[in-house]
Amino acid sequence: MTAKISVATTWLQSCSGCHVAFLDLHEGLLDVLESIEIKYSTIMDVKEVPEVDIGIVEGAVANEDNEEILKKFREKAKRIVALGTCACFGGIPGLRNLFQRADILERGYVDTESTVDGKIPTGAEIPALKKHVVPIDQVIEVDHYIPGCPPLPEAIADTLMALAEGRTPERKTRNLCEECTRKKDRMLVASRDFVTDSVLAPHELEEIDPEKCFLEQGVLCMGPATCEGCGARCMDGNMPCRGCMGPTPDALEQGAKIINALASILPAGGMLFQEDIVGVGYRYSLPVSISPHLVDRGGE
Amino acid sequence: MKTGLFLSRDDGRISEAIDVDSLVGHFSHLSVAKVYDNFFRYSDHRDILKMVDENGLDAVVLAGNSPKYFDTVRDGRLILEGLKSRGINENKIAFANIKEQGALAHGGENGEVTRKARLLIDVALTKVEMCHRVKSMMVTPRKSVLVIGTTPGGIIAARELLEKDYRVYLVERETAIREHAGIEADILPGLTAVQMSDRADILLQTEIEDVSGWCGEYSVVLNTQAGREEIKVGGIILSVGNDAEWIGKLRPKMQLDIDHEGLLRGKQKSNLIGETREPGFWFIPFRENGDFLAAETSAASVAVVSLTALLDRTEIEHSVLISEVDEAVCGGCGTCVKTCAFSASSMDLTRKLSVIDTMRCKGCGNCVVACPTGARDLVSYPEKFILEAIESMSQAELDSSEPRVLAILCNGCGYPAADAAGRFAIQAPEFKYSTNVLPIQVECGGNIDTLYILKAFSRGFDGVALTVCRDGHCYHVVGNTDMERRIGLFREVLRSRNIDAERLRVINVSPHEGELFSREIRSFCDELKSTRCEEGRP
Repeated sequence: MTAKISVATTWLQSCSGCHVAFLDLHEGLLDVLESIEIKYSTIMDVKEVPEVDIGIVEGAVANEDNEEILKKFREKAKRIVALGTCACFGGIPGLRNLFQRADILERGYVDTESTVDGKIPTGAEIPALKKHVVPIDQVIEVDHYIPGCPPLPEAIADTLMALAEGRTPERKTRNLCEECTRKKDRMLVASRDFVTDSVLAPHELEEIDPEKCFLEQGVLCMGPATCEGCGARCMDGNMPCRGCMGPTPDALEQGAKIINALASILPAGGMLFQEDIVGVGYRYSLPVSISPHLVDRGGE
Repeated sequence: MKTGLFLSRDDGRISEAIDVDSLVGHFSHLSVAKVYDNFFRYSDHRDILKMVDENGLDAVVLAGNSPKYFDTVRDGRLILEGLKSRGINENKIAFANIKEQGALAHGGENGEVTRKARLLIDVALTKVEMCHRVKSMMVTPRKSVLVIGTTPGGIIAARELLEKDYRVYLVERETAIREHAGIEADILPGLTAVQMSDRADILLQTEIEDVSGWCGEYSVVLNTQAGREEIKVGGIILSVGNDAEWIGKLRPKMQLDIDHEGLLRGKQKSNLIGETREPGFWFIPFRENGDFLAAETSAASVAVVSLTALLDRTEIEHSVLISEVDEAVCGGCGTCVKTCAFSASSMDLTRKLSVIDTMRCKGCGNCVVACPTGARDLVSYPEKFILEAIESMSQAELDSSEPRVLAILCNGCGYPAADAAGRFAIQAPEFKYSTNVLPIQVECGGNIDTLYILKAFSRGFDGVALTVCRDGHCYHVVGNTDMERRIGLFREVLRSRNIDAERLRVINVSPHEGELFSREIRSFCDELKSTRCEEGRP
């Protein structure tokens, strides 16, 4: 048995769900701990980040504090692992890039229904909000990615074990249809007819066929525009993909791509029936879009 | 890679507006950068080929006439054939259209036009750098021809083909040979000759079910009275007169260009009559006026002579300009299968991979845009090249008082319309438009990825004009339909980024409609400019 590799973990702008996913390994965690030693974590009482082999970072970069911690991690860790969709693609926090920073602060500190005489903090007591949310690889160099909201516990274990054994963790390149076992029928017929007459939300179906491609049931599924790697868990649970694994490395982004794809699959592209076209396509990956935030034409 | 840049003064028409000599200096880092008076004159033509040989070039950028000139003017392609014969791959030859979309379109403003020309050359250099080599294959042409339609011209063509020792299939959807009042007696002997021949089949009440393949080797499925039958032919001649209904049925199967009346339209006016964009397809144009018989006879002869000139060769080179599949990226979602209008995509279920039928793929790029994983790419217009071109055009220094507009031009209509606008502008200054309108050519409306638009706006373009065929005229049948569907949804994405959807304009044109192109692009620029003023920006 070789020496254990040392690990530090932290979370930036996120919900800490990826750390929970790590703990979701349950007794499997004991096997992983045979090979790694956690020297620092946000949930441990250690003040300074020590020198480690692996730095695991959850969450996106949204404020100055996030940026500082992240840079510290890069300094101290030989390799950086981006854990979860926020770290990899900006994730849910990234959706705030569709608003002006001033409006967000106003909403958060002044306009909230429960606030009386609110004011936007300007001092050092709270880290300044960055103008845009970005994934961590736009601030530092990242070595490995474990996307997912939350990521598969097994994927976390596999990556750590690979690194402990000196292997390079595998990076997935195909879309989720690769892993999905649902049957496609009309999707594979070379005809320009749409696969359904109508587009429905899952709850509008009398019965969701557990074996049939969601698109063929008229339900918008982000699977085609989403990277594989999650084992198609949602589809196994009889729900369509919402795209949390982010775009495939070659697709550049999810939102524009799903629009392009659906044009000839579902009537009116399927997306008009969703109340939020933008949210459907960019829910998890807006900060890695080709246009990752509001386009400013002079001024903020 | 050793790249040569050849610039044309076009006998002064380009050099009047563009300082071509300064451009040579700017690009002197290339293996060769040289100016000529006219690429197509013998001495210059010969010198270009000499330069290629002496410098061992493997890529060439021709900065001068529109690429359309090389393709649609008779023998314009000679220079390209010369370059190819010296081992330069088709995809390693790129064009900077500094004439029709440069000097002619803008004129006068010397410094600005030169700056735009430099940018167009930069884009062409990126293209030869980023495009992969296109593969080509040798086809042994079949000495058989399908004649569709029994108008007099069709019968004359069939008769001439038989005389040239070709096997002929004469197909008609009606119950009898089409008659044309007044000339029955002139056609009768020829018809009898066709009927007598054991090398000709006349198939009445027959429809064309399917056409695939390439010049020299087409596979055609006929729906005859006796049932379905597959035939192999080297080429096809259409003689369907003014039967617009039949043309409408044939168009999705054969990709035929049509005019405003729905009748067949040739490649370009300066070309041979009856020439189409598909080298193995010729047609006999419908003429109402004048000497009908003479017109039919000469058009039939042109079609037969031109087609057999190709098919009489022992081999024809066919460039495999298709959409490719990256197997490491394809997850088998089936989007390309649903998108392709030519049934060229199908799914290999055991490998869960999309496969492409090279006999059917027209290289239109609709599946490339549709593919949600980025597993598809066009050999001639790679996505990464177009994104890179948009990037460099967004960075280029331009006249900052005018809006910066990206004009995405489809190869079928938008691009030739922009060329036509240039030719109008040189005669009438009111058709000139701003040098800040920067063109990028794509194969088809269906090849316009919403990513390109997003990229342009995120990199600071003020407007994006998508210039594509008129409704129902798309050479790839569904390209602009799919584009419209995509754009309809995509405007919402633009709004979410604070981009006024009015900054995205779709301009539908026919290839010759230069005036319309110019008018539309000018009014678009004016609107963008007044929006700018309203926003209080310079």
